[in-house]
Amino acid sequence: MKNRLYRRILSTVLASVLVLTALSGCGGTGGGTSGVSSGESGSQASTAKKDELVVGISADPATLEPMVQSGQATRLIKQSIYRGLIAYQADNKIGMEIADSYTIADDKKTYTFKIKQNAKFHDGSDITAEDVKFSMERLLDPSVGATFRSDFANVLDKCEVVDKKTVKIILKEPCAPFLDYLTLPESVIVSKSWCESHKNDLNANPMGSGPYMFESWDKGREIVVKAFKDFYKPGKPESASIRFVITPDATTRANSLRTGDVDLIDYVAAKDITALQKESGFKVDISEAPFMCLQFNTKSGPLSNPKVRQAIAYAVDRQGVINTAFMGRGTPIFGFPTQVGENGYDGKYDKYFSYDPEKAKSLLKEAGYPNGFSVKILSSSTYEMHKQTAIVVQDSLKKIGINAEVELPDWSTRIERSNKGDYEIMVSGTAGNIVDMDWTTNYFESGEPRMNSSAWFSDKEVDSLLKEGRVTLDSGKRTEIYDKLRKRVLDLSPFVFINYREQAFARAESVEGFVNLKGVLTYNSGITLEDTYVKQ
Amino acid sequence: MEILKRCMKNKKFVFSIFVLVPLIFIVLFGPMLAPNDPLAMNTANALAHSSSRYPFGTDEFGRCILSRLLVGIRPSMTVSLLGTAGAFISGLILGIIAGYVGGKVGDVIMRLVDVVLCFPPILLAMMVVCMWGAGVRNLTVVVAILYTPHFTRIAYSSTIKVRNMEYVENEISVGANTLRVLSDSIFPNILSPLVIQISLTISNAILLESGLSFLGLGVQPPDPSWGQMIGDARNYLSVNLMYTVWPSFFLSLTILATNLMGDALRDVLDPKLKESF
Repeated sequence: MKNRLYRRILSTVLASVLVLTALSGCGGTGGGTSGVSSGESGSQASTAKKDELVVGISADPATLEPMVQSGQATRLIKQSIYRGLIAYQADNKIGMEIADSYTIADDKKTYTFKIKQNAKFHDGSDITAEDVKFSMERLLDPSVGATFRSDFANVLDKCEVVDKKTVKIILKEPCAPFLDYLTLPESVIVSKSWCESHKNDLNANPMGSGPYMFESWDKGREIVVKAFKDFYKPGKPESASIRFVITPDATTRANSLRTGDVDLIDYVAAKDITALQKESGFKVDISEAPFMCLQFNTKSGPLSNPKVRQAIAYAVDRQGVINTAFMGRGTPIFGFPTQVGENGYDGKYDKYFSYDPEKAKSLLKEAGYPNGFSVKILSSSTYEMHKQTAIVVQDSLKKIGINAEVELPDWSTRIERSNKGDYEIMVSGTAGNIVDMDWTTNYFESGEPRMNSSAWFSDKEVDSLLKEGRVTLDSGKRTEIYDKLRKRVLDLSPFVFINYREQAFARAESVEGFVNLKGVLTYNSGITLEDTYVKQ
Repeated sequence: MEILKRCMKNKKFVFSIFVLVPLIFIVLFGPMLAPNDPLAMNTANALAHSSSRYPFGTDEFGRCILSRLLVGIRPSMTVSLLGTAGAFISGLILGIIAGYVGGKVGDVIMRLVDVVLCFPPILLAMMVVCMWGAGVRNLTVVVAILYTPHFTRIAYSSTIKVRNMEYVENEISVGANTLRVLSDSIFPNILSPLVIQISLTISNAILLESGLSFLGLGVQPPDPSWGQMIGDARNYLSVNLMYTVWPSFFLSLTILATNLMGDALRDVLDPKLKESF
């Protein structure tokens, strides 16, 4: 009896093992759909392409509201769904988007844009001058909370509708970098009628005019967009759909690229850059331009004193941050983050600070804090490099007597807090947003707390230098103005600049068309997703 | 002493003692034993393999892994020991009240206990952390809340049993101090299940604290904790494997030892439970 029982059990177990192995073998790849053709009218390319491009992104968008900057990962999605009048293209030059052409009047204040005849929104309606006017005004609307609201509010006077496809944008004064403002991924043109009928809530009801239409958002997991067949660039987009898979953990993201679950990933961590460059089958695209820095809430307390901030600038172990958070890949910034040559900069402030904890301690004493003080550093658990930068800074501050506690919420919360100025010291990684020294306006101008500025920082000299730089059109004079600005900003140190870091994307070799734009523009690389496809 | 003899004969007990005694020693004297300052960074020497100065190598900040291990056990121990003590006290009080008073009060208490038991531990811990922040203090509270039900049930069943005994009723009606009578009759009954439950709770609590620190919700940087070290080390598996292996190994050993201790105590103190497993 027992013998038979044992044999039965054994055979059942063996049978189940066989069945399970057979089933898992037929399973196929997890994740990506296989190419079931849907007869997409878009591309005329003769290479066989997969229908779906799968992108592993590092963070769940804090919001899909296009006029709010919530990080580079979100911009990849934003630039697929929304476009503005003009944008930096894959060749790092400004090209037309919704606009067909533009002229600038002799007074340098009136920009006349002609909108493409075939430019449409995803709901089928034509893009008109009314929509452009509405969008410009929406950028200024405080309830929308556009990240670059104050920059536009400084210069924009009004918009005039000339005819259905012609609009005039009139500035208060000449503004040298105004075209750059319009190239920002946040300077989108949205549909007036759509916003009016959807309570102006584009986060809940995304609808734009970009190469892809919003399809679904499974919060925290994935966002799907589908090709817009009436996109104004013929033959674009290349892929029928894009699936953005939200994978906050850098190691998991890199592994998902290795297994083929995704075709392209953003924010490749330093150790993965080295590893993927060695492995065959993958390409890593690197731009060095973003920099890590500290922002301060300058309203009250020790951080409102420039001497204290300067002390911190001397105390931070910049090389330590590079060694730890970036595996030794990066360059320390002891001055102001400007590449030599940008707007005529010759490098004179590059050695303004140095690593000098003793000097830092004496500055603290001068400021009235011989025994240091306690403070909180806001960072995020989502990006290891942010977290590790915070921990090294914490250690650096401890050496000069400042007791810092590190706060590590997820990225969405961190963005929300930065928008409200809800922090004491905050770790940031940023790139400056536009290819002109006027990027400094968004960062250093006084005003309400916003993502890129040190909350409540306000200095008359900085404000007037910023304004002068904007309205002056002569490049020689602008070089001088921005040199003065750099010195003033370094003196007051509303920011402590730490290091340049690499911004890397990695893709499977079968992925074509994606370009990591150079320098500051790396954050605009999402525009090349319209060219990106996976070869089959 | 009879019990002690039985303990020494039990293999599981002996093994866990071998592990736990050095562990307790480390908890008490860890910082003095550490060869280096667990917080001292030396970023140029990050993720180094073992050397004479750094016996277990260094982490991504160049800090000594061995020193951090020796110090990192303290938060786990604090959370689990204090949390268990909290659960023990509150569980005992609630259980005795529920059992003695009975009626609606007893029902309410026991249903609340059931609710807490149904909660997945990690989920409850994450809720508490989201509302009141991370850190050792809040985790101790979480552990105390999560494990109160186990102690409540033990105390409750014993109290019920004892309350109905004749001699207890007699003693109370004659005028003896109720509390004294109850405690004299209840405690001998629940001593063994309590001891077993305490050791099981401690091992579960260590695991919970490590899990939460691994997720970044427990001990905050720069203070080390074994779970947190494992979480950080995960990013560097390809660069320095031992960084992950050391804390994982010690954590597993500790949990194994406390678990086995619980088993051994159950074997010795309540052998009839053995068959039901």
